[in-house]
Amino acid sequence: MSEPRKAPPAPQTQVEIRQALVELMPNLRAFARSLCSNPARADDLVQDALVKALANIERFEPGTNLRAWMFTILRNTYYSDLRKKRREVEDSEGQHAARLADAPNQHGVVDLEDFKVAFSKLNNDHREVLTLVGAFGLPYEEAAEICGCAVGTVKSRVNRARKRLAELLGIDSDGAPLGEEVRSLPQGVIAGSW
Amino acid sequence: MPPDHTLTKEWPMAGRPPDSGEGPPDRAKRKRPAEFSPAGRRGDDPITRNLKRVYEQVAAEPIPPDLMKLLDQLGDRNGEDDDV
Repeated sequence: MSEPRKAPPAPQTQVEIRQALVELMPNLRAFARSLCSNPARADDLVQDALVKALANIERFEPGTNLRAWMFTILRNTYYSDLRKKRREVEDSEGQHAARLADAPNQHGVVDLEDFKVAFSKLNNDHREVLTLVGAFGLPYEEAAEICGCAVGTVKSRVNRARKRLAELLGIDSDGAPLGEEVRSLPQGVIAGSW
Repeated sequence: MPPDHTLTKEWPMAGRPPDSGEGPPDRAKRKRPAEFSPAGRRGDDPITRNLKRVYEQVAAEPIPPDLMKLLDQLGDRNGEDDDV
């Protein structure tokens, strides 16, 4: 049984930091996309976070966890932006999800597009912990550090997020389709967003 | 001789012996939901599998030149920000 992905060796020099950032880029872009759905906006978010990180690179302590530092900056940047234009963002995200909404695949196989739609309906807290812990395999402790909350909070968010996602996809926790009575719920119930 | 079910400090519930084996109903017996293990430990459930697929899709995309250009400027900028 393998362990959750450990933090890579801490970079010490600027060259190493740059290399580490290049290696982190797929994770940063995926994390950004999990937060704001729209790929173009996600890349803008990564760019903003990167600009902030580079402008404050002297505040990064060589030898510490660059991955957690970068994820934290990206997350803070996202929430700062969100606070600034809350109404506009929430509305556009909601409409985006509504346009994409469709009945989930009910044959026991989760279609990736269905999955993305269901994922986009989770709230921010749930999307971010699922991405950090579920997709990247980060330890709960590191996810808690990035999200600025307790390890127990991350654990319960992950469990609630998985449960909600399973509901939205019409599957149980093992991936089996739910019974007819659940499958026949009106689409608005299955695809209801927070 | 019938059992003595008088109230005691150890078991203040009248009429119920302490070792009945039934214990307090429901709450104590309710099973806690299984704790999800991070992806490295349990990667074969459909949710984790799809989370990884989404990540792999993004990871397979080339890094936009704008971002690469920024990385090349590492160390050229100064200033502070509250989000850092």
